[in-house]
Amino acid sequence: MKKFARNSILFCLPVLLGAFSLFLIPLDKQFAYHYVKGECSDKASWLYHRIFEDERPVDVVFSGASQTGSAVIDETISEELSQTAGKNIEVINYGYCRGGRDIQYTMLKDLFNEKHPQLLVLEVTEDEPKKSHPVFPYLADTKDLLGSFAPLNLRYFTSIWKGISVRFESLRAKITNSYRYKEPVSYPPFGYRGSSHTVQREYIKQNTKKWERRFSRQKTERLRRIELGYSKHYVRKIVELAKENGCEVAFLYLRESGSNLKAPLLEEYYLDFGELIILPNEIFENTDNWKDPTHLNNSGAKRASEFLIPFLADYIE
Amino acid sequence: MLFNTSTFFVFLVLTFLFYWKAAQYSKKTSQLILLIASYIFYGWWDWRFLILIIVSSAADFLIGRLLFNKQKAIPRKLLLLTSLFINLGILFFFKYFNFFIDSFQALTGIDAENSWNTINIILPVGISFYTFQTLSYTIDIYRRRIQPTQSALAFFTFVAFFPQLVAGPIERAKHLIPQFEQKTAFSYKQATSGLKLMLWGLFKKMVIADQLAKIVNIVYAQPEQYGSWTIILATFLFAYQIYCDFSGYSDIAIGAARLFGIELMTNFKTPYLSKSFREFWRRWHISLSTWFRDYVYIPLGGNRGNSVLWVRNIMITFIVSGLWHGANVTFLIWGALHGLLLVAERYLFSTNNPLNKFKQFFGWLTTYIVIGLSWLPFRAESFQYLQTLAKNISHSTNESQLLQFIYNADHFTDAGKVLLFIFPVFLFSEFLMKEKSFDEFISGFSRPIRIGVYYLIIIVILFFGVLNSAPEFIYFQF
Repeated sequence: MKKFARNSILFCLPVLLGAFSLFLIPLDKQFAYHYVKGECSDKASWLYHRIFEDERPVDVVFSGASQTGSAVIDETISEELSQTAGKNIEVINYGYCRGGRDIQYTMLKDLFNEKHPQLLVLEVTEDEPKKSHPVFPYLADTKDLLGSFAPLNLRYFTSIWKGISVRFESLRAKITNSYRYKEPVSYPPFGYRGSSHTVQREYIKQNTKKWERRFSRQKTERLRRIELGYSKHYVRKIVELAKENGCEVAFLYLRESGSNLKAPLLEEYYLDFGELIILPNEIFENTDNWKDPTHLNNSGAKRASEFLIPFLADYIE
Repeated sequence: MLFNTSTFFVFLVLTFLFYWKAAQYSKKTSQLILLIASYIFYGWWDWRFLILIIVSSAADFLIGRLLFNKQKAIPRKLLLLTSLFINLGILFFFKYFNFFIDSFQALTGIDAENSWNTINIILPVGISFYTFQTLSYTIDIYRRRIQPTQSALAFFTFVAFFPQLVAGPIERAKHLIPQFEQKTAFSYKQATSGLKLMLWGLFKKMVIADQLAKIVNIVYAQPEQYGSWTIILATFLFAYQIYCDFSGYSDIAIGAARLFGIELMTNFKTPYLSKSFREFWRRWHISLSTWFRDYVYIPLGGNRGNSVLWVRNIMITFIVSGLWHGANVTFLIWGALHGLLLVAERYLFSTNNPLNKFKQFFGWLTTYIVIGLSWLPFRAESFQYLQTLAKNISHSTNESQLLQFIYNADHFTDAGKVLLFIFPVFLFSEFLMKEKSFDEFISGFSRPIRIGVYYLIIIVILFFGVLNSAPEFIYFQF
């Protein structure tokens, strides 16, 4: 058995070395952003196009999860701000499905390498996400991926595996010449992904109950510190990244329909870095503004965007 | 949990480590680990499937013991019938219920809306395989060929042993149960030969079968768009797809079993090198064809009696064998066709004289072409579909379509083009291997060559295999 174990390890060693040496190859961003097709209505492809191919500048960027994607009408805001400022202001909705600060950091890093936004509006919800984003390893640079280790980041080793996979697939595509990047006929000019659907009240009630249950469970301060450590680390990194690039940072609170929490649990923490924008309660309390219990619909997004314009105008000025 | 996924790899490594660690202390514990692992493997598809396999195992374990203790013919027959009723009943319900209702309605012209409705049934993976395996146990006890095992653990593991649970080889109790009962010692040679077989199986499945499938599926998705030669080409490619898919699975199964000190029977012996249809059935899906020989063909009378009876026995065996593959009239046609081929061969080409080289070659060529074309009904999704295929083959003779298909259309992916180079190498190695398995064949080379070949296969799998969203093994649906 010992001989078998030793020989198996020795045999696998070159394969493992080969796998880890893939991290030495720079990640092909075009391949990576298109590799996550089928996720979030292919928004990663759109994001790649907007960052690397679209020549329009980016002045204001809204970063967050799908809540941002369905709440901020970047087209309307761009038009209104441009009118107010008397010059062209380009706003981009950078919302990407599912929570995870690490992917926001990675995507923003790519954005800052190519564009020079003046303002970053970072979405915050009731609480910080506790996990790494499942798509993060596909887009992250080697240094960021390997450095994403944290005590409660249970996805770390899966992430390493995914990181190896995407690099290998990229290499394989190049060698076998099997990757054909097909430009779609046209990309939508803006990142807002709206819906005219209105949620049934029953679902909102269920969401309220979920939040009541969640708030009734008290966690110790120490446990919360450990749980939120990963996300907080990335919030800090995002803010630092923005500052390094001369970009202002603000936070936008987008809560769920049933939480009824007037401000995020980590309000104080965010205020250390920048202004916190809280939308009027009427928007959240009106059931007609929700597509589902966690996402606003076109009506909600319209109101939210209209409310945001004066705030943003102040920053632009 | 598919063999060609990273989940299975992790599962296999963990089971292997726990099994051999436990084997150091107790045989029963290691066997229990194997049984639990097998249930996890099976339950991975759908935990509800476990209920069926446990019911089937428990029933046959009890019936087997009762059968052995009864001496009188009538109670023994009743017990055997109970086993047949339970096992075939489960199989019939899950696999054939809708088929027979549909066929009955079609034959009698009863309006489907005003008669029985078919029901929405999920076909549990591998049900045909483990049902036949457990059935052979009670039949063998009934025939007094084996004694029932005293160990429920060994029997339940025999039915559920994960490497061969979902697509065989269909093992016999006489061969497999004693291996579970005996104390096994780890064998370096056996384990490494298992790994070699698994590697070869993965190559056949992921590189050859799954790449060929891309081409075959395009033609079979819209056969009306293609001419005769393209459909024939796709059918011959399908012959290799199904061979590499199934024999690849069998190699992985046999290899994985060897990691636990268990030897499974050989299931394929380069069947496309057969020089007659009879030989083909001695080399193709051996565990199933011998099962049908032992439990259907011989009880029907085999080749005893006159020619008419023999033809009847052959036809029944092959039609049932066709239906075993699936509840579809196309499988029935496929089975009947093979029965007819065997009958025709016996009467038209039978000779007791040794074949000379030319006759051997002619025999191989005929068998190869006819067997290749016989996959047509097997691959067709319905009888209507088969008619469309036949119509396109007989009517359209536009040869330029074939060349267009190969060169101009986007059907051959870039990996597929590479396959044009890998596939001939595979065919040549199969030719060299003859009846040897990959591990036996490769052991004839020096160590550096062997290691070089292993790494080469790994590289080919990684770069030219279908890695993402790999399709399931074809035989899982049976």
